[in-house]
Amino acid sequence: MTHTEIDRLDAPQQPKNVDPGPSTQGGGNRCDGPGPDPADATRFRRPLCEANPAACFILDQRATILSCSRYAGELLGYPIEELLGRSFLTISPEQEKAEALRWLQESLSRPGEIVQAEFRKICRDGSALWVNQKGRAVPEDGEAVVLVALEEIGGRRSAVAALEQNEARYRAIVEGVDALIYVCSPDYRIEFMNRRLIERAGKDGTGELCYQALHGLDSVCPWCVNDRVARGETVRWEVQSPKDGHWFYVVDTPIRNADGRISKQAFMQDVTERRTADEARLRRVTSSAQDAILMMDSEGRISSWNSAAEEILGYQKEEAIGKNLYQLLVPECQVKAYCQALPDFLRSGSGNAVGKTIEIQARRKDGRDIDVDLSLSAISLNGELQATGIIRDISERKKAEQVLRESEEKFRQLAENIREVFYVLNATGDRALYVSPAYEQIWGRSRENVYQDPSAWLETIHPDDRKRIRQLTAKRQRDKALELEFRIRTPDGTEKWIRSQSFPVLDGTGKVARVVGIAEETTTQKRYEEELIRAREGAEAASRAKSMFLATMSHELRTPLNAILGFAELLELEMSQRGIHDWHTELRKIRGAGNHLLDLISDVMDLSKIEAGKMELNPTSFDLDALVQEVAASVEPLAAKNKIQLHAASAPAIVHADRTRVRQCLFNLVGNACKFTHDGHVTIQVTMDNCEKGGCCAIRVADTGIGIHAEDLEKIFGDFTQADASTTRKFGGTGLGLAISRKLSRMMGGDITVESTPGRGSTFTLCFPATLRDEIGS
Amino acid sequence: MARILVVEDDADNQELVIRFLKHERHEVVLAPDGLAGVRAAQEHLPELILMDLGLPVLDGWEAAQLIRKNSATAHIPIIALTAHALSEEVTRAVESGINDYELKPVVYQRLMKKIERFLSLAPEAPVAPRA
Repeated sequence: MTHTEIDRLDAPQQPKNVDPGPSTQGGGNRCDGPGPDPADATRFRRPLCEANPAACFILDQRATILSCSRYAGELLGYPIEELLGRSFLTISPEQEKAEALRWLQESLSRPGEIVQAEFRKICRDGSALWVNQKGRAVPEDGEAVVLVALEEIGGRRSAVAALEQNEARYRAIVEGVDALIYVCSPDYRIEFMNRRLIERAGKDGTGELCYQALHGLDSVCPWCVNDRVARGETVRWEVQSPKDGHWFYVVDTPIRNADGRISKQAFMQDVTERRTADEARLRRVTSSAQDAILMMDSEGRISSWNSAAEEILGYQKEEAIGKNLYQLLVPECQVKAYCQALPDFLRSGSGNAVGKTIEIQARRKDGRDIDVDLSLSAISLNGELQATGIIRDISERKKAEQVLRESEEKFRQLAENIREVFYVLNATGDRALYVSPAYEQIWGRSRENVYQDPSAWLETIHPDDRKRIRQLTAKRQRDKALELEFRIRTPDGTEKWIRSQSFPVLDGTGKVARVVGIAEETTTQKRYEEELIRAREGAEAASRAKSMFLATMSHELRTPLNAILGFAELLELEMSQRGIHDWHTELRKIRGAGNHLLDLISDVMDLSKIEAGKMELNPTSFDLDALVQEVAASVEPLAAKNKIQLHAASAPAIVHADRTRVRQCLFNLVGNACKFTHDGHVTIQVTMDNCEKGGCCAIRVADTGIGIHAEDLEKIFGDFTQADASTTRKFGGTGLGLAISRKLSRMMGGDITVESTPGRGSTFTLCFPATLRDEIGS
Repeated sequence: MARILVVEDDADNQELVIRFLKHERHEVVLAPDGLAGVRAAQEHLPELILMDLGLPVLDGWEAAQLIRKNSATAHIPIIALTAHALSEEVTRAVESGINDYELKPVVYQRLMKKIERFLSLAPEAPVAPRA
């Protein structure tokens, strides 16, 4: 094209040689001039140039643009006027100007020849345009001009440049990255090795077989993944170099060539450091682990064995490594299942036991089978699946579980067989966790009701009790035991009494964890209780009636007695005032009998009070010696009458006791002694035994009277008894004195005892608890 | 010689006490029940009152309380004559404002001595009932 354009520009110069073909082809008609005159050639050269549809210039020897085509202006974005007269070099980029000048000079030095070169031109908008620049120097007016045609090549040129740039970048990456890279064809020919790989291999093995160049092998490496890459797969794996033991992370990527072949790009990164660190970390983890951690290779051989494994399974590491797992650890009963599952696992990394924890038995070195938790996971290593097993010894746990189960069974048997309802509630008491079957027997309802609706049992409560129980349960303190008693109604309308006791069960922190309780039917007890209460009420009423009766009797007996004794006294007074003594003895007898009757009434009242528990003690501090002397003085008339030497030994002590009752007892004893003694002695002696610390006081009343036969010694303390029925008539008295005195002394915590020899005398001893005091007071 | 009010419903007992009092030359005013006793005390202002406790209309305890409440009669000594031998009844009597008591059957000559003792303590300051 360009040659043609130049030829065409040049045509006027060599009109006879004009090639008619091209001129007809590329606007040659414009070249058709009036004739082949050389002056015409010069004359027509510029208009022809201007009208040329290509980008054409005519330059002088100094590169001044003498003429240019319209299209050249359009191509470069200049109006033609701006281009005419300026140097052609000015539209070259700075760095190409020298080159462009050399091109011009070369064109001038080889007139008639086409000199061509590729240049950039700077357009008016500053952009660069790649052009193929052809020139031919022709003579004009004795000088030479250069005809120039520009052919635009920008598109092709920039694609190549981009390609070159990409390649440079890629190369920089390939060489700059800290990795070994090579590309090899499907038939194992190395197509490329990066510098690092060349350094490592010691040579550039491009064109050689990869297994020879890289591994020094005679045949394809056993681990080669070319097949898979050739199928378009990217394969990532880690491999240990047999050369120096370094670990490499390998990414093999398929690269599609222009002819459709797939090459393999191998990218290998040295990860030895990371792996070493990982392994060290792993070792630290496994060696300190409580669980046995072991690994198994693709053949099922043990490849790793930590210290916990040694302990749990009994084999030392040296014994275990390399052994087949099932030979070592799997009990016979499980060998079959294991051997069936292994190939699947090794192929796919999946299986029943993978990715979860199963309970299984393992055989120890000593032959003992132990319960273990086994967690199995699959790891892909060097393209091979490895199994990692974590084995936890759970025999202790299993044992504990067994114990728990047995204990739970015992508890369950107990809970389910007792007649009482045993129940367990949650901490807030609003959900039933367990209710024993007795509930169904007692309540006549299904336990399901209670499980489903915890308030259901409230509905079973007798309407009269329900409100009370609801209030009690609502305001119960969660951490306190609660006892409830209420009636229920069974579906058949039976009313039953229930007693329920519940207790909180605390957890380790003292919080309420659960509430447990027992509910029992107490209908029968309740009936007994009610009967008992009725009986007690009846007894109490009877006792009250008795007391009332006695009080009334006493009152009613005393009233006529008052008249009897009063009138006897009045008669005696008035008769003596009148000097009448005839009936004196009889009146005395009336008064004696009346007074005896009165004593009887008093004693019966005392006995009744003691028996009814109505006799109350009223201890005060008093002078015991004064009391003894007082009693002695009051029986002195009787003693004198019976010719008795009455001797009361001094007892200087202030004691704390019920004075009235002590006096009553002592009076009775001394009175008896004087009554049953004639012409003899009665002595009163006081001994204190350990009274400082609340000991006892003993008062001995000894007489030289008639004495008591051994067989009568206990009888005399009975009600209405004297040793001899005749004695009452002979000696007087109600026969109740000793009975009352002994009862009183026993009420005080003491007693009255007796020693006697018939015919020689008796000794009665009153003892009662008494505390020595410093002074009189209550 | 003093004016003594006898509050007693039983005829035998009335006769007995009156005759013993007459022996001692006392002037006797008789009231047959508690209410009559209270009125008689106000009307006659006796120097001493002998009071049975088991009385109709008003019993002896109530009568003693009313006599003690009236300022005109509050100071008059009251000796209860009672067949109520139980200690709680005696306690109640003392709380009602009674100064002393004799259990029936009464030993009258002893009672007369007791009356003399009370009268010899005159002039009596009013005795307030115990709480």
